Amino acid sequence: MSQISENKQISPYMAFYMVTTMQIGVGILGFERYIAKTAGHDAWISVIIGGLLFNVLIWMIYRILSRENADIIGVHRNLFGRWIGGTLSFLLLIYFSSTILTVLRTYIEVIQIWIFPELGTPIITFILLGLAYSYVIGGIRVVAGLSVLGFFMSLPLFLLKYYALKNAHYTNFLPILDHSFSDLMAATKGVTLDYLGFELILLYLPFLKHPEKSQKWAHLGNLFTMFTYLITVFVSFVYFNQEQLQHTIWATLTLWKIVDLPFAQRFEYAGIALWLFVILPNICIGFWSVSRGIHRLYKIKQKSALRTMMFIIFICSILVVDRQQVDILNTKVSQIGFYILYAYIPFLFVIQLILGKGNGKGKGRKTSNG
Amino acid sequence: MVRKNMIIVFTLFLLTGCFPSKKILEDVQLVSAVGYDYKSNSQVELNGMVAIPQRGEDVPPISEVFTATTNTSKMARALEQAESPKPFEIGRLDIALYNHRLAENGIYDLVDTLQRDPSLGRDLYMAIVKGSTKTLLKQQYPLSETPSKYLLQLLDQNMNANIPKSNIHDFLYRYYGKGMDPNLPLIEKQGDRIRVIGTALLKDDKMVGQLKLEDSFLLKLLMEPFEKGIYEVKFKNNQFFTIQNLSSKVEYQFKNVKRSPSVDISVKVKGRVSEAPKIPVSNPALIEQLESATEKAMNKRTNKIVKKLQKAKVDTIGLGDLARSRTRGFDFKRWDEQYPDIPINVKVKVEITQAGITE
Amino acid sequence: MIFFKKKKKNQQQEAKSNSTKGTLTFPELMKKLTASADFSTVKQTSLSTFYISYYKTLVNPEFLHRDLLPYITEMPLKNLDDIQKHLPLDGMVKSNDVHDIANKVTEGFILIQMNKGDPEGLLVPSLSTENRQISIPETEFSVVGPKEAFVESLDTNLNLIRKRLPIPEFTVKEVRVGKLSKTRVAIIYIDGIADAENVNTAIQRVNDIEYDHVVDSSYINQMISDNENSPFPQLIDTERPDRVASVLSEGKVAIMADGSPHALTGPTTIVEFFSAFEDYFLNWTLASVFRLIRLMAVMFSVLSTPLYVAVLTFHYEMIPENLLATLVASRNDIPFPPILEAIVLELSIELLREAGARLPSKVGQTIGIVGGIVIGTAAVQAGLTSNVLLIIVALAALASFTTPVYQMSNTIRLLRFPFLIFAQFLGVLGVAICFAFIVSHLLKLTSLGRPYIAPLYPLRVNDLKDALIRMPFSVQNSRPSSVRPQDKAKMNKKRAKEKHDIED
Repeated sequence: MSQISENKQISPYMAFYMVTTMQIGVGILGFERYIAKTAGHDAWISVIIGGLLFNVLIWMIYRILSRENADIIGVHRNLFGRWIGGTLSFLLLIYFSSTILTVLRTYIEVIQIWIFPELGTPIITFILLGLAYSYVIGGIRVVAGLSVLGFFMSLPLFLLKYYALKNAHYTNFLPILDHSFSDLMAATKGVTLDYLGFELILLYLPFLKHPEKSQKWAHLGNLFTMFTYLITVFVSFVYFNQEQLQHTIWATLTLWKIVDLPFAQRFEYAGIALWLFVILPNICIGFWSVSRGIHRLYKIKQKSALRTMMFIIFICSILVVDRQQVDILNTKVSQIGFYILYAYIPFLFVIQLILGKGNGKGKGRKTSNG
Repeated sequence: MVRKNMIIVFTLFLLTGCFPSKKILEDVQLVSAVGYDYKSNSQVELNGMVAIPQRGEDVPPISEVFTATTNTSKMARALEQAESPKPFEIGRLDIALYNHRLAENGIYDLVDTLQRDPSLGRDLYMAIVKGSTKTLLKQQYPLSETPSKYLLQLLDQNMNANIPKSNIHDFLYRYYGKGMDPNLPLIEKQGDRIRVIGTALLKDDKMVGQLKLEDSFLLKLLMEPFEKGIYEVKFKNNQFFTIQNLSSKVEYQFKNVKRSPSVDISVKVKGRVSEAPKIPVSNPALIEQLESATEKAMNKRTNKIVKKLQKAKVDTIGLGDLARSRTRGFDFKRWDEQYPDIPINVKVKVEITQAGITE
Repeated sequence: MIFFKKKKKNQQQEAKSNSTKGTLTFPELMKKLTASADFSTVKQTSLSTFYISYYKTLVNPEFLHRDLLPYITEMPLKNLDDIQKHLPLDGMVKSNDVHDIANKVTEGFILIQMNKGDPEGLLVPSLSTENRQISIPETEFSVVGPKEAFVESLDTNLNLIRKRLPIPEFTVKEVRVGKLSKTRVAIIYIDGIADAENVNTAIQRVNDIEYDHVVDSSYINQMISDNENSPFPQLIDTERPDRVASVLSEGKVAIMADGSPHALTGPTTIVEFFSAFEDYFLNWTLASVFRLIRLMAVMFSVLSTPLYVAVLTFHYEMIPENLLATLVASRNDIPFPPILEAIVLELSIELLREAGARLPSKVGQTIGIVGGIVIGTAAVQAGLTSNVLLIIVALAALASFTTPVYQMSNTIRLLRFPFLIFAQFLGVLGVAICFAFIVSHLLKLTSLGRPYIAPLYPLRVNDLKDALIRMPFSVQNSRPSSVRPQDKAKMNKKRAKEKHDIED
């Protein structure tokens, strides 16, 4: 990773924040319903299984990248040559862009449903993109700073779970393991969507100082996400029963409703506003990584790549009109994500092993310079 | 650079029309209580109570009731707009009242409109009213500024003491949940007072029965641990004493759930004698007598209540859900069929600890 | 003495580099100088003849008549070298460079020539320094601790700092800036502790200043700051020599200008702006609590009115049950929407502050009382504002004044207005968005090239000991790593940590 000057790099421990903040997004506000559909009150087991599976995937990604000593674009080029590799990289970048669009659009949807039904999509998209632009323009250092901030701003939100626990029905969890293994696996598939997002590390890893040291932080980040999801699932499951949960689209948001502080009640308004700091790192890391990817692929200036991307995403965001379309967008993108992670990454891992191209470190470095 | 900024500013101006519309506090009419009255099988009369603040700092607000008749509550609200000088907002709704006749026909559709509205909280109280909700809301009560405030404090206070806790969340929890049925407080207007007269028992969203206030206390004992409830016991020839519980605990035991289930419910009550005219309560021997008298009375009464619930096929205690949590592969259908005939034994144990500060 | 020599050397260097362009002959110069009424040339004819030229308004007459003239009139002196030998004075320069002479004379040197037209002359320093007495600090007053503040003379100021750091590593680099003002600017640091890169950045930036006159250090503050457009001050502006001494010992750099009673210190971090120097005079528990209170005050000051506007305009659901009646009652008669009410009140508070600041202190107090009590009460009674908002605005203004650094407290009061506008359009979401914009600005901001919000991001756990809270001195064993000091350790950790047994 010699091509990136040291003062542009960020500390390896940043991998922790960047992985968690990328994983925790809008999904957590209402994912309980989806995973409980199949595995019922045992869905928390799926959360753990999913978390552990993703640790394996992180390990794979680190292996793939460290063999070539490059980002995914360099790996693609080394393994498949200029044209096929370039096409694969391009497809991957399109997938990443669509995840940005999904996160952005879903958050706007939440705002429109919960706070401002009359808020026009163009204006809020414009403002949020402007916000993202002001961060991404500062480079990876600023974007990473935002993810640290997002992490610490969302921590106190855990305390709000207390209000739900006051009215908890702990028997909802019993009996443990009342569902079949296939049910649990189906729920694990559902959970996958909520762990998605960390795969952007494929693009920004070269910007971490000592990437090999950052691996443990990435794993820890993933475990923290798992822990967060576990708490969320636990609290939602004891507050709602399974049938009620199926009628509750945004379980966590509904939980915020009962928060009653002496100076403010109905916390969901403040909560959704604060959630901006969870969404923003998602969008910003996404924008940064993809524009960086375009810059690496086509030698376009990163700034102009970013602007073009933002324009396209702005148009796409306006084109998504109603809730159904947001839902479709969510399911489609997460399906693609599912296959990329569980099929393509292992495939890449095996291909690399077979071709054995990874041994030549020098070669990898040379080609990744482009 | 300047041109670029101009473009941005211009775009923003173009988009300003899409900003959310304002709901300035004093420009809206905050509905603090709604009441639904039965009109006909397809029509509902909706009464919204609004507290209108008066000029000056220390002048209490005046309450007004707006009424409309339609078949869905949303449309009713649109109707009300015609009379009101300001638009209605239901985000501060504290209480929803349902006429008991209406409740017998089912109230889910009405509750559903409330729960769908994101501006509503989850701690909304619900109650069933014997009589018209309109007259109840229209009355000015000397005990409180507005009827909604009165109701709020009344229900709050009673749910801490004698009747099972129930707000919109609990109602929906029990409505959606399998193996349990909702209950709601039952209130009645008596002159310029509102009285909690007991608990309404619902099967799904339909009211099928009711319990008196004293029985509500016993039902609460069977449902949740609580304190501060008051219960009156008859003790020998027309002597009465009241006992206030300091803490209570309930345990359930299920036997043979899969085939022929039976349930043992054991309740432990710790209490003190709060009122005992003509009974020398400082005597330890007498305390024991009081304890056994209370136990006897409670046992008899609770078993009767349980029988009543079973007969009406309502599982207000939530035994079905408890059974599920203790059984793998629980079959709700079977349980529902068996429920009316399951032997349920309640055993209350009472321990009296203090009897006031004098001897 | 070392210090003085160094300074002199610098002065000479700088004098050369600063000399005005173009050629100037000596008679031309003299013509230019004598055009001014306060310039005088005296011909001395006692044992030998020479000419003394000087600005009457710059030169201390007492010095001239008591310390200079007696020595040169007593004996026959052939040439300038003789004079230089006989004068028991320091800092004399013999020069034949017209520009040099011009610069020196305008600074308060006395020019001694043997003949009137001679292009060569001896320059004797004789600056009459009209100094203000050292007084107590006004903007950074502290109840305990030293009560000295800087004055307008650079040398006095340096003296105040140097006597707190009597070490040879204390280094002063002097630069002259300003085409017309030729202000002496000193860059001060402790050699061996301060990072060379920081020092170089500071010197470089000061050298790069292109402006005709530099009157005060706040000019320099703006000219060398990393982002000129940022409302956030990027260097700390202090009038306390003790604060400068302590900051220098942390490895930072201080910049002082002659004629300015303030020192700039950097690289700073945002948390430094919220720590009063008095924090170090109090026990650490108290100091930490006060710092946290100050931080809360800042949050309150920035967010309270915007949140009021947001909640009253969009989210009436969020108002706590018990406050609702009060708020509705107080808002009921107000003819303005919340945003207008808030802006009008905020602006009137700003008006009061401006009026108070521009008037002599006694009148200023009266204005405060009149504005605060009379106008406030009248406005509420007339039904123009709600008393709830009046309380909030007044508290917010009060809270903003708890910020120890004056520039920062101005920034904080200014920050409210964008928040208010966002709150008006997007409610609490708008407040969050505005906050995010400010955070993005802060993340990009640097102070002398070092990250501005340093101990928070990049996260330096070690520096957090003296950031939001102040840990005891025994724990403060290292200098802040965000300024990259060359020598990290503040003290011998082991000795400080030695534990004593009960009866030892």
